[in-house]
Amino acid sequence: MLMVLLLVHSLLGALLLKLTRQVKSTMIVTLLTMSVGWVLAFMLHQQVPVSTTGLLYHVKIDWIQSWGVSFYLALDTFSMSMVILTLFVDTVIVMSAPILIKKNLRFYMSIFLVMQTMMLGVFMAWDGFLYYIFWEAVLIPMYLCIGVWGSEMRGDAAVKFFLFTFLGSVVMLIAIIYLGVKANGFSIDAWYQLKLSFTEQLYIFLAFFIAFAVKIPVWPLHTWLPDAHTEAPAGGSILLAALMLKMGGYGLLRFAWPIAPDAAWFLAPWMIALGLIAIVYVGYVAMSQSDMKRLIAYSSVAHMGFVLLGLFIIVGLEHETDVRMAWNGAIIQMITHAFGSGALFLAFGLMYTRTKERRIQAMQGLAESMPYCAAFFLVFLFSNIAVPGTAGFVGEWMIVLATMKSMPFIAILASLTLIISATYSLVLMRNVFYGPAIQFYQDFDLSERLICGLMVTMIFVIGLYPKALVDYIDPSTTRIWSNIQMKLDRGMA
Amino acid sequence: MTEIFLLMTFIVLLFLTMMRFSQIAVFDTLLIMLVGFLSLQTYFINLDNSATMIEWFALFFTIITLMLTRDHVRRSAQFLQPWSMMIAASLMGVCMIAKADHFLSVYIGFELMSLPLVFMMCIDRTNFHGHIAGWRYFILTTCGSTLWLLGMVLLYGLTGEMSLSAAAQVIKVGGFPLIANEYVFGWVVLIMTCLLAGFTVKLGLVPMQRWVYDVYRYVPLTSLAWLSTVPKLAIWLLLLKTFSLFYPYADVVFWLCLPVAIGSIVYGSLMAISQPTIRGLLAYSSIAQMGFVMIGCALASAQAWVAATFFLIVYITISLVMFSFMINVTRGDREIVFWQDLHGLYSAVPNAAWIVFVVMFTLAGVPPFVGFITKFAVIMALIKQGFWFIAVGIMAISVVAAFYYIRMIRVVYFGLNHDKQPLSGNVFIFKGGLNKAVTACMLCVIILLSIYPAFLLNIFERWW
Repeated sequence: MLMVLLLVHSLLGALLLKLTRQVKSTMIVTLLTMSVGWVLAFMLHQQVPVSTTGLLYHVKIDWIQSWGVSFYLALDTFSMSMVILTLFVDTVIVMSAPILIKKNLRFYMSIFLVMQTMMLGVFMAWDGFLYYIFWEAVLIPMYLCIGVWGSEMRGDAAVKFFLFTFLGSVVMLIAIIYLGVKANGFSIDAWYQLKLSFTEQLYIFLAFFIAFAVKIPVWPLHTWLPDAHTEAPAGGSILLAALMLKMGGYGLLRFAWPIAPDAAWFLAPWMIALGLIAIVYVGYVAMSQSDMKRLIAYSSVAHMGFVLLGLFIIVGLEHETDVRMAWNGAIIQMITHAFGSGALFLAFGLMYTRTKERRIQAMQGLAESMPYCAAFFLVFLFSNIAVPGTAGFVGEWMIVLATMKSMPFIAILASLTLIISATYSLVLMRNVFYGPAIQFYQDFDLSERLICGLMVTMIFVIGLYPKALVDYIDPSTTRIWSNIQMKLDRGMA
Repeated sequence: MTEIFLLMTFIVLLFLTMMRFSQIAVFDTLLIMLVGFLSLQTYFINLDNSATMIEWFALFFTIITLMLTRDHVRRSAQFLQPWSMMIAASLMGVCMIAKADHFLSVYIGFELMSLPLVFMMCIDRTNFHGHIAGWRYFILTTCGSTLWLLGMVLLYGLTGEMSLSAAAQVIKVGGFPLIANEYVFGWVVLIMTCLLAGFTVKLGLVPMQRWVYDVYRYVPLTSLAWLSTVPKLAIWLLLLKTFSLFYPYADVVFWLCLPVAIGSIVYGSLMAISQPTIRGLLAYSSIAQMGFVMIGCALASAQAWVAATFFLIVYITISLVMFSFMINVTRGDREIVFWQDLHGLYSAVPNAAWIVFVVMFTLAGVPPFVGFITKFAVIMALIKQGFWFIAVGIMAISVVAAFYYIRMIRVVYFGLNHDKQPLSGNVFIFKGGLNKAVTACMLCVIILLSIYPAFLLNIFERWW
C-alpha cells in the first residue's frame, strides 16, 4: 500500500495543483506533495523487508489477467537508492522552479510531479508491461517541458528528443512482448527463470540495448541529448541529466544483463569499446564547444560512458568481489553523476536568469560580482571531473580500478578522460568566471545558496564517506550477479 | 427486435418531417427514442453474444454522435430533417448486418447501410466538393458491393448453402457438392478475394482507399462523425463472420489480408505526414488505424480478434472525441481547416488543448494512454504467432506516424509561428453545452480504459 501511495502521491499532487491560483499556493501544494513523498519513502524504509525473495518490499495486484499482466511493484536496495535520488533531485528542481520559471508555474510544477510518478514507476515496476508504460510515459511530460519552456529552437529539439527515444523504445517493446509470450506473463521474476537460446538472447539483448543506449546515451545514439539539453529549461536539463539518463543504466542491470547474460557476455567487448568512445571521443567533442550548456551536456555523455564501461568490464575479472566492485562503481557513478552534471545544470540555470547568455566567449570575470555562484560552480565542476573527496571520484575510481584488474590498457585510456574533462572544465571556469569583469550581476541570494548547498552537501557526504552507500547497494548487485552466474554457460575462472 | 424498432423510428421521423416539424424536433425525437431503446436493451443485455453487443455499441456511439452534433444541428440553417431519417435507416442496416445469417439479409443490410451514407455526404447543397466526394463513394461502394455479392454467389456455388452458419458447416466437414476437389482451393481464393474487395471499400483500406480522403476532407462534420465511425463496427463483425468460415484455410486468409493491412498502415502513415489540413490528416490516419484492425482479421485467432475489436472500439471513441473538437472549436466563426491554425490554442482555450493532447497521444499509441494498450494487443497477437519481424516493421512505421501526431501537440502547446496570420478568423471559440459535457465524459472513458483496459477485454474474450 505504501508503495502504491509513494508511486501515485505526486500524480494526486499534480491534480490538486489544478485548484491553485497564485504562485504561493502552487508552491505550498507542490512542496507539501514532495514532503509527503519523503515521509512515505521513510515509512517504507522502516518496514520490515521481505527477505526470502531478496526484494525489500513488493506489492502485486492483478491487472490484465488474460495477458498475464499485473500491477507488480518491488524494490531492492538498488532501486530504492534510485527512488531516493529521484525524490532528492525533484525536490531540488521544485525548490528552484520559482526562481527559474517566470511563466505558467502551475503547469510546470504539475508536469514535474507527473514526471516524478513516471520516474518512480520505472524504478519500482517489477512487471515488464508496467515498466514499459512508465518508461514511455516519461516522454510526454518531458516533451511538453522542453517545448513549452525551452529557448528558441525548442520545438525541433523536443520533437527530436521524442522521436529518437520513441524509436529506441519500440524495439525494446518487441523484446518485452516476446519475453511475455515466451514466459506466459510479464513478471520480471518469471523472465529471470526463462531458459533462452543464444540467438534469442542475442536479439533480446540488442533490442534492450538499443532502447537503453538511446537513454544513457551511448555514442553514436547520443545526438538528441545536446539539443535537448541546450533547448530545455533548467529544470528539464537537471532532470534529464540527473535522472532520465539513469533509466538506461538501470535497465541494463535490471533487464539486459540478467535476462540475456550469455549475449551480454559475448557482446561485452563491443560495449566496452562504445563506452570508451563515449569517454574519450565525446570528451574531445566537449572540449570544442562554445555553448556552455552544450559543453556540460557532452561532458555528461562522456561521464555516462563510465557507467557502460563499469557494467561490461566484468568479463575480464576473476573474482566475485571485483565484479561487485565494478557494478557498485557503475551504480554509484549513476547516482553521483546527478550531483555533477545535474548540479552544473542547476548552477548554470540560476546563473542564466541573470546573464541571459550561453556563449562562453561572451562571459568573463563573473566571479568578481558573483563569488558564491563561482564557488558553487567550482565545487560542481570538481565533482564532475572526479577530484578525490567529491562524490564524482568514488564511482570512477571503482570502475577504473576494476578495469585495471581486467584490461589495464583500457584503464589507462579511460583515465585519460580525467585529464580531458579537467581540461575543458578548468578552461570553462577560467574563461567564464575569472579575468577582468565585463558586466556585473547580482550574486545568488539565500534561497539559491540553500538549493546549491543541498547539492554540495550530497557531494561531500558521498565523497568523504562512500562506504555507507556501497554497503547499501551491495546486496542488490550480489543478488543480480549470483542470478546471472547460475545462468551463464561459462562460470568464472 | 432492434431493426423493427428502428423501422418504427424511421416511420415516426418520416411522419414528423411530412408534418413540417422543425429539424431540431425531428432530431430530438430520434435521440430520445434511441436513448430509451438503449436503456431498455442494456437491461436485458447478453454479454456473450457478439452480434447484440456490437448492436449495443452501434446504438451507443450513435447516441454519442447525436449528442455531440446537437448544438451544431440546432445552429445550422440547412434543411436537415432527412439527415436524422438517414441515420435511422443506416443504423437499421448496421443492426441487420450484425445479426444477419442468410446471404440475402446480409446483402440487404449492406446496401441499407451504405446508400443513406451517400445521402448524408451530399446533404449540404452548397457544398460542391461534398457532392463529388459522395459521388465517388457511391461509385466505389457500388462496385464493392457488387464484388462482394459475386463472392457470396461463388460461396453458394461452393457450398450449396444460403446461410453463413450452414456454409460454415459444409466447409468444416469438406466434400463439396458442386466443385471437384482439385478446384476447391482456387474457388476459396477467388471467393475470399471478392469478399475482401467489398470489405476494403467499406472500411476504406488499401487498395480501395480513394474515397476516404475526399469524404473526410469535404463532407459536413456532422455527417462525417457518424459515417466514419459506426458503420465500421458492423462491417468488422461481418468480416469476422465470413472469414471465420474459412478457418480450414487460415493461410489463405492470412496472406490475403496481410498485404491489405500492412499496405494500409504504411500508406496511411506516410501520406498523413504531408497533409496540411486536420481532416486530411485524420483521413489518412484512419486508413492506418484500420490497417491495425485488419491485422486482427489476418491472424485468425481468438486473441487477435479480441485485440482488433478492442482497437476498433477505442479508435471509434477517440475519433468521436476528435470530431467533437472539430465541430465545437472554431476560429472566428469558421471551422479550423489547417492544423497550423491551431497554434496558440493552449494559451487561448486550455481545455480544448487538452482534448487534442489526449486524442493525439492516444492515436500515436504512447503510454499511458489506451492507444498504446490496443496497439500492444495487436502486436502481441502477431508475436504470439511468430511474426515478430512484421511486428518490428509495424512498430517502426508507427514511430513515423507518431511524428505528425506530436507535431499537432507542438503546434497547440509550444506556441510557435506567432507572426503567421491564421487563415480562418482570429479568435478561438469553444462552443459548449451538451457537447462539452459529453466530450468530457468520453475523455474520462478513455482515461478509465487506460487505467483498467481489462474491463472491455474481458467482455470481448467471452465472444470467441
